[in-house]
Amino acid sequence: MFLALTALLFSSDAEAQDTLDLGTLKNEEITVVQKLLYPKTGRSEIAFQLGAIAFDPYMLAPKVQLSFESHRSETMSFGAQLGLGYGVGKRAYRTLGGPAYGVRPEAYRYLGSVTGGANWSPIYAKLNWQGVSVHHFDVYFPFVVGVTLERLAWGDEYFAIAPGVGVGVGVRLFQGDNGVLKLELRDDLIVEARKQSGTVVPKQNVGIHLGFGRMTEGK
Amino acid sequence: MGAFALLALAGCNQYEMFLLAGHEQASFSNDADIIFVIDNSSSMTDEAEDLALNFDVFIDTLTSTDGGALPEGSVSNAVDAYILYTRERGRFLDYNLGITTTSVEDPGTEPPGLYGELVGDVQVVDNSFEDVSGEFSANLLCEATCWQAATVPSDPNYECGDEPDQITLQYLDCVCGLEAWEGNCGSGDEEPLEAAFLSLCRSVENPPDECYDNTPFTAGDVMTNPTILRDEATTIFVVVTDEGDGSRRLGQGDYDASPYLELLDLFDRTYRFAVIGPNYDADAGTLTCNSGGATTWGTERLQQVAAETGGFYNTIAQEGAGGDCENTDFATHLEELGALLNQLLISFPLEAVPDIDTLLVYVDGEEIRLADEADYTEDGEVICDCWSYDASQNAVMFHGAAIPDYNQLVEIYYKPLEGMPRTLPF
Repeated sequence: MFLALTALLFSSDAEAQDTLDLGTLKNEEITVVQKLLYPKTGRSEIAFQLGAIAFDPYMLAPKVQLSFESHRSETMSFGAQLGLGYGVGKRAYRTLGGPAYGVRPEAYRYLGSVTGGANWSPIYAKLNWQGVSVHHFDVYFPFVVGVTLERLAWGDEYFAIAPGVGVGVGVRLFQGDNGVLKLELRDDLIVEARKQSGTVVPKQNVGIHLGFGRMTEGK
Repeated sequence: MGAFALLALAGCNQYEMFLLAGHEQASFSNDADIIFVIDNSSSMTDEAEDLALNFDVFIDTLTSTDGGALPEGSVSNAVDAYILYTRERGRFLDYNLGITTTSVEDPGTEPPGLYGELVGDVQVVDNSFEDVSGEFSANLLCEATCWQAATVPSDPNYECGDEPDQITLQYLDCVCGLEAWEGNCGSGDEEPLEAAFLSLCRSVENPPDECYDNTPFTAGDVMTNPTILRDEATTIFVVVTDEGDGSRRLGQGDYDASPYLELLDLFDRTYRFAVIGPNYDADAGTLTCNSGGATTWGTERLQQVAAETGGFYNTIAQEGAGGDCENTDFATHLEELGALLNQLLISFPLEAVPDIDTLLVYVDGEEIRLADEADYTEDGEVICDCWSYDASQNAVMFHGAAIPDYNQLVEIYYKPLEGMPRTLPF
């Protein structure tokens, strides 16, 4: 690729009379290694994703996530996310609660969350798919703070509003000038006060989300 | 790699484990297997007669379907209304009734003992019988009562089928067959606790080894009480005796009946003792109206098993107004037994001792509130639509309209004070 770029840089008009000395191109001076087809700077993005908080030992919460992002540069954006879902007991939860064991973990079911923060997107790349199509994508790392609303799985009146921070990793696959396909894995580490046991414990809600987004027109 | 680390961490979410006592009212706590352990020594004839004559009261308490029992405008006292309302729920009870005697002697001795066998051609009477009281009384009078023909009154005018005011020769002949009621006197060495234990030995397919120790019980006696016990039912032993307990596994003078409670625990069943026994005041150390020759230590054993199993102990005789001893009112005893059984409907035993602050109680998904101080009367009665915790029974007690109805799902969550009672698979 470097050779190709170098060749391009030096392939000036063959008919030129005067030779221009462009100097030597150094690695550290190269900031763009490919053509950036989908710039984000100055654009906003709204996305709708389906997902699940699926990795808890006892609860599974299908969810939807609406997100808004304002891209301040190619590598940094700020945004907010609204998640809604409903946690249900997994097989392990049901088995424990059955007549054989008669035990219930003090599990809280996910109901919703509101988060906001920054996305750092240091990677922009393109992918040649089986030699027939080229896809542009970026990789980003969300850092968010927010609150999560959960409710005791066996007690409708026992809610927990848990503050937390979230980190994760996501991929934004560009679909035309304004569309994106987003896949994101984010771990929301929340601190939950559980009323029945009287404990305050950390809990990780690891959610995986997949959906589409729409970006505003660029400047 | 980082993503996988996140997933691994999420699997580490920690939870406190709560025990769940979940029962449908239809399948739990309303099955009672009631085994009467009757002292059939010669001194107990009058008491057996009283028991038979008053048994209707007991059955009425259990089978009342009279909607009129519910409080109406004329019932102004809230406590009375509450009690009536609670009792009306007795119609949900599903009971088995059987009778054995306190006589545990070898059948080859004279008089022979039953050592836990239930009497009667129909050993178990249940609420599907058309005449529960009649069937039970026939078993009691014909098989488990020591009649002396010379002392039984005669009523030549009695006709079979009439309701008797007293037990007569003619009545017994009608119920049992001509003179078939004679010869049922038991040993003077009353062993109600041993009899209760052996009645269970006869009721299970694989009785514990202890059943064979120092008793007439043999392999041939296994499942000779085949239908009295049901899964998940509470077993109620009703001991009626004018003596204390002289069971063979305890030494003479030994007050502590715990070894028998441990033996009964071998069957892994919920059980209670209701005792109608000698009039003994342990605090004063006095035995009143002790016509049967009861001992203090034998009586204390019975008081202990009643107290420790959440049953009751009533005295069989007391001094009357003139200072003479007379039998106490068996109608009252049986009514109290009915109340005890009905309590099965409002009492939900817990498997482990709970951290009370963690108890959560639901009926059909709706949370029931805990009784607070204002809900208790001066007598300790709880008047509210709520629940309370009874430490003596380690049970959640429901009150008022919070008492679960038939087929309602009761769920009780709690954190046990001392770990989980069994190993969990996850």
